[in-house]
Amino acid sequence: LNKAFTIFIHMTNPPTQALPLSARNGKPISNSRVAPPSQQQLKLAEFSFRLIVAEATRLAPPSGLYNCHGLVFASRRANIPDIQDTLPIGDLLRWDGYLPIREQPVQVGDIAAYLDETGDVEHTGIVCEIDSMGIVPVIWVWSMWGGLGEFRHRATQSPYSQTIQYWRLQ
Amino acid sequence: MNPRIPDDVLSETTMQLLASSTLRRYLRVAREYGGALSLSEKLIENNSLQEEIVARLESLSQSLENEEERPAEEAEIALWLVALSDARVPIRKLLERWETYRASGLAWIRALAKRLISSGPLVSEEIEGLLGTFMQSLPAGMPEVEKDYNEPTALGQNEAALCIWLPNMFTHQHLEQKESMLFIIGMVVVILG
Repeated sequence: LNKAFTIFIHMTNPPTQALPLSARNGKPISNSRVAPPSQQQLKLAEFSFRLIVAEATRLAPPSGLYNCHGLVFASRRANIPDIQDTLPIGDLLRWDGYLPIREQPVQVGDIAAYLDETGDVEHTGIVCEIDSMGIVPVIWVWSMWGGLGEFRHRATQSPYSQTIQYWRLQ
Repeated sequence: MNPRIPDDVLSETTMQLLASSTLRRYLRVAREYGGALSLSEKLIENNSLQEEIVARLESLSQSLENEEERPAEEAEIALWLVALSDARVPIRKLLERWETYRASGLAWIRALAKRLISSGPLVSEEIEGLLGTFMQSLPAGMPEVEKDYNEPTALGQNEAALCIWLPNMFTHQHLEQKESMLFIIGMVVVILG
């Protein structure tokens, strides 16, 4: 009976369904797991893609199971938010105890939040290394590019906005 | 591949759509790249192009119905759906068909179709007609109301009519959050009718 129940649960809860997730303050986080890109779709994107990844290092293959926010907030377990949802990622950062850095220098472990033209967060990644080029710091970010895969890349070298705000856990 | 969208644009759009983590960005990408090609303007100027594209999308909707991976045609579909919607071509049935597909490979297109159905002019025009019918069916003595449908929403026909009828009690967002209240109001309307 137990085995039958397990099979039933598996059948009614396929891996594309949402997981129960919540922020540090207990607020629920909408999420989903969707299909990966097909090989044909990746091939179509490849021409544009390879120009951007020239100096980036791929860390994980394309996936539909998690996105950038899923990497940062949910240990690669889900896409955040659910596709249909409009959860502001700035709110999620605050719920998890992060605040924007004002004057302090960026450090490893900070969150890089890429802002669109309206100021909404369109992408997040984790600062994983800071080099210096003379007196100018070169910030490297570890992030998942939607369904395209994980990359270690310069903060300013990605398919996303060039307006980057750094957040730190308080 | 559709000859009206250059390969380099399809490639760039595909890459940017795949890189999107939210529907908001996904829609913006489709609108930006479609806008750069003036797809909406071309559709407005050319009725035969409208028919050709709608036929193409209907054909794709049938051939991709059971896709379990995101298809290569996703960028083409997204570009044209947004362009058709922006050009106010009546494609509600087409959008509804995409919205009903449950294949996991079509999750983003499904979400896009749902958003387009619920957004702006497409809904407003349909609600106008619906409102007239609905108001005529109300008994005399019902309160006069103001119409307000600036908020994009994905309401069904009855819900939309009720939403317009009761703007002081509910915004569209409230309506989504208060489904039980909606049920009660619906019952009242049915009884009064």
